[in-house]
Amino acid sequence: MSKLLDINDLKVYFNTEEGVVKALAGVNFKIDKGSFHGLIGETGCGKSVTGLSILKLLDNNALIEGGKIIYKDENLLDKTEKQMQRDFRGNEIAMIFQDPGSSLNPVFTIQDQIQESVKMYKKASKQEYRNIVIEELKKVKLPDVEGLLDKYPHQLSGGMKQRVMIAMMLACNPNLLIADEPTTALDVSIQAQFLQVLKNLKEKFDMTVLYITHDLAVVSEICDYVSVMYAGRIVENVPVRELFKNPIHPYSYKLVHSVLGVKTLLENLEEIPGSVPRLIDPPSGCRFHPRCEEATDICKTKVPQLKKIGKNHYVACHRR
Amino acid sequence: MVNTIIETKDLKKYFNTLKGPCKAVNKVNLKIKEGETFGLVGESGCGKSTLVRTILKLIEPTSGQIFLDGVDITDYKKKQLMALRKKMSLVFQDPHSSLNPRMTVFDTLSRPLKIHNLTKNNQETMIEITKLLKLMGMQPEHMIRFPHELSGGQKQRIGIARALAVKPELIFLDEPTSALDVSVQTKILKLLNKTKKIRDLTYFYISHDINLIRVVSDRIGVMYLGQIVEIGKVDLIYNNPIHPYTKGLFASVPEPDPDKKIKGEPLSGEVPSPVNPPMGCSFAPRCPFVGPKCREEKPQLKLLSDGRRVACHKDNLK
Amino acid sequence: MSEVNVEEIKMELANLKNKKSSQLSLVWKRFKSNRLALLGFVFVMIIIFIAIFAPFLTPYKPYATDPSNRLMGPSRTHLLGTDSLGRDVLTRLFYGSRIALQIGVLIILFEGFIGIMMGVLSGFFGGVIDSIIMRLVDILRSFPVIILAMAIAGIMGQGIYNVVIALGIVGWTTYARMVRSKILSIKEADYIEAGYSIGESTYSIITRYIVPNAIPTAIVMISIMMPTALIASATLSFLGLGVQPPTPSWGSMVAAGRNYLLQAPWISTSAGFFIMFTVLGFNFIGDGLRDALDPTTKH
Repeated sequence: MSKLLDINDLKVYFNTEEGVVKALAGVNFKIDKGSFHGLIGETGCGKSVTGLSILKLLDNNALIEGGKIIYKDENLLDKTEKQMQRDFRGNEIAMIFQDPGSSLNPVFTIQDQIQESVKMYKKASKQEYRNIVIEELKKVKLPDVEGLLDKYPHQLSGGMKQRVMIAMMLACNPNLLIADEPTTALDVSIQAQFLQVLKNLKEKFDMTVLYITHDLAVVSEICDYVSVMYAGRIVENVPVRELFKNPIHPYSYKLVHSVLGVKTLLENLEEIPGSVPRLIDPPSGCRFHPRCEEATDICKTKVPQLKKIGKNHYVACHRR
Repeated sequence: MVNTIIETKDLKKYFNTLKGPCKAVNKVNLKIKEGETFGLVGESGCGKSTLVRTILKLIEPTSGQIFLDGVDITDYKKKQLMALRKKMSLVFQDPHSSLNPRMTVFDTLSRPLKIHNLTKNNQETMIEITKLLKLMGMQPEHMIRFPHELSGGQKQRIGIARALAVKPELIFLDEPTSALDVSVQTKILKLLNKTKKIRDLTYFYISHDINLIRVVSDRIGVMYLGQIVEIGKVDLIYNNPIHPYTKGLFASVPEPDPDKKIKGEPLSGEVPSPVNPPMGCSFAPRCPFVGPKCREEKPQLKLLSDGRRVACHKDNLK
Repeated sequence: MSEVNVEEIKMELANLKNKKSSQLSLVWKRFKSNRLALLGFVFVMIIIFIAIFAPFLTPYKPYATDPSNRLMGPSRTHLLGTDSLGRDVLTRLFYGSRIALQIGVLIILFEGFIGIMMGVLSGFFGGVIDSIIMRLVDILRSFPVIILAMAIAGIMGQGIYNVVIALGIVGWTTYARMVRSKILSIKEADYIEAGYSIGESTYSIITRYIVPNAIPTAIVMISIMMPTALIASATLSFLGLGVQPPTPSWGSMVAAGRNYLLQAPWISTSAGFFIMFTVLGFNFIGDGLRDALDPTTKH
């Protein structure tokens, strides 16, 4: 498989009134074409920042300190705002967010919004546009598509809005879809429907997706490959089966064993001592060392690099 | 014989809206036994939060009755309510918004003690708060902190400590971990479990997280559109859900195992509006086994041979 | 459970408290980092300094006329010249700052007190009380502010206190509306329900939970309303309905200088400058306070 996106040692800092927040301190992972790549981590670990960096949609106080984001042989970090807007956002890389309600424009109908995306790459007559929009909405398995066209976002439920968002993104034919916690605000039954839509897109249209989430169960459901993130760094890049059968990094291990499954018992659940570090003054060396039971002196001083330990399996830990 | 601590009889709570009454809680009959952990599971908008707040008398029921330790508390007012607040308390979902941002931890925890005259002076208050903090695995130094100086997990511990301060018999836990990260969730759940044993408590969990409800509860209820559709021992229902909604709901939950995938779309369609719920069984429009009777008549909870109750018209319930 | 040593804990907490920076110092730190706010603070400090030490800053008296020196241009003896009665303009401006600040503060106190109270009542209790108060607000606000104030001032006559009442009768409505909406959002917060769930009384809910959380909004509002009050009182004086001459008020000085705008432009312009300087100062402070007290409003 060829790789579509290669993030290399990405560093992003934020200037805040309390000081510099080192949100990303060396993020490394590659996304293969056609794969569902999960990016998993807890609140504040930098997973959303990673997603936004790819599209260069970071706030003004963000500084890209170093690294490369290679998308199809081109480094996105070298692109100007104009080039990003014209050549990449939407038509190459699209993004959907947690709250679908705030990403849709409340004063336009569903048809208008999706049509807007279609217009970016195609000129057509009114009727043709209408047909294309209907096609797009059918791709995400929305019921009663015709009736939906003239509705406004507030008339739809959360799950439907999220599907409209996807349809809108797909309408520009992107090669990479970044989904940032798209189901967090949805109920399980609606989430199941939504995941079904994604699976379907994967089979039929060979979509490449970067799926950002904190929910390991969802990752196991739809992802092929997973990057585990902790406090601004990737600690493990691993095929999804390996992650659940044989998590190597101590953090991944704890994470996998703190998820509730259908048979888990409360007593068997792992807990991680301490709490997530503040990224204003992160721990030295391996950022997980203060919470790690196996930490030794080298963990406190030296930053562990990702090293290969199996087929497509990379871990950043001194103890492995 | 174990005592019933809470009982509701045909409890209803309707909210007035412009489009008509919103039937948030629609005839709920429930018994909670002393010392058990009851888990109420349902998706957002099913009325579980409203049910709990109605039982707690934070909102007035529209009709029906609520009994606490066998005493009818439905019409309790001011003074009587104060006594009630000492017996039942509530832990909130979002620790970030459930603590008063202008109160220190000491202020927050001293309020219930002062309101109910549980401590006579500052000295005693301080001792009691220190004990509460220790029980929650926190230090006395946290007393002078404001909520924004605490982590999410710590805030939730304070929320739990506040609920424990009055030494209640029954604690309602409204999604106590859904705003927290998984690693913190485990800690809080274990802490709650430990506290239950130490303080001899009865727990009433509500959550949309089906696996969470399973690991913590002895008995569970499944709620859909203001009604309880299935209720019984946790193992029974998990191993063999009977109501079509329960079945679909459980099948929708992704399992943290890449080799077990959700099959298709376990529940199609969406929850109807509680303002205009379906005539008969509220699940009928989404039910794969729907019959003509389902659309006309509301099914009542029926006792099955294994001890659970299910509200469904299907005859061969197993 | 082991015995708790209260004295030890108290000591420990006292130690910690000393080390901890208070919330107030945090607000001040944020405020300081905002250059415009700091500039505004300096402006206002200068005006306050002038108001307090006016007699020491100038050798003249504000009412001392000198017919032989009418409408003199700026010179070394009269830095900003003299007016039509030969009074030193700078001296009158200095004394005018006393009047301006006095009126401003009185208006703010008067309308702020009424407005915040009405806002709390309206927001917290809702229903009929809310409807009555809000309709009253609507009625008062349907008049052009300055015309209504003119009418009231016209009926009650001139004088500082009448200006305060005239402007306050309309001014409180802004506070009431803002406070009401703040209270409505606070009322929805979980910690209010949490308060009820542990048995707090309505009185406690208002005083311990709602009001403390609404205070930052009130402070910001007061600092934002200050310039409005200053301009409104200057306008009334300009129209001859405010402070009575010969009392030196900036508004009436602009008006008086208007007749000599071509011969002696310094009278109106310097008075106008003082108004602008003060209003700008309070505006900057207001914006700075808003950002410092409620950092979430920033991006």
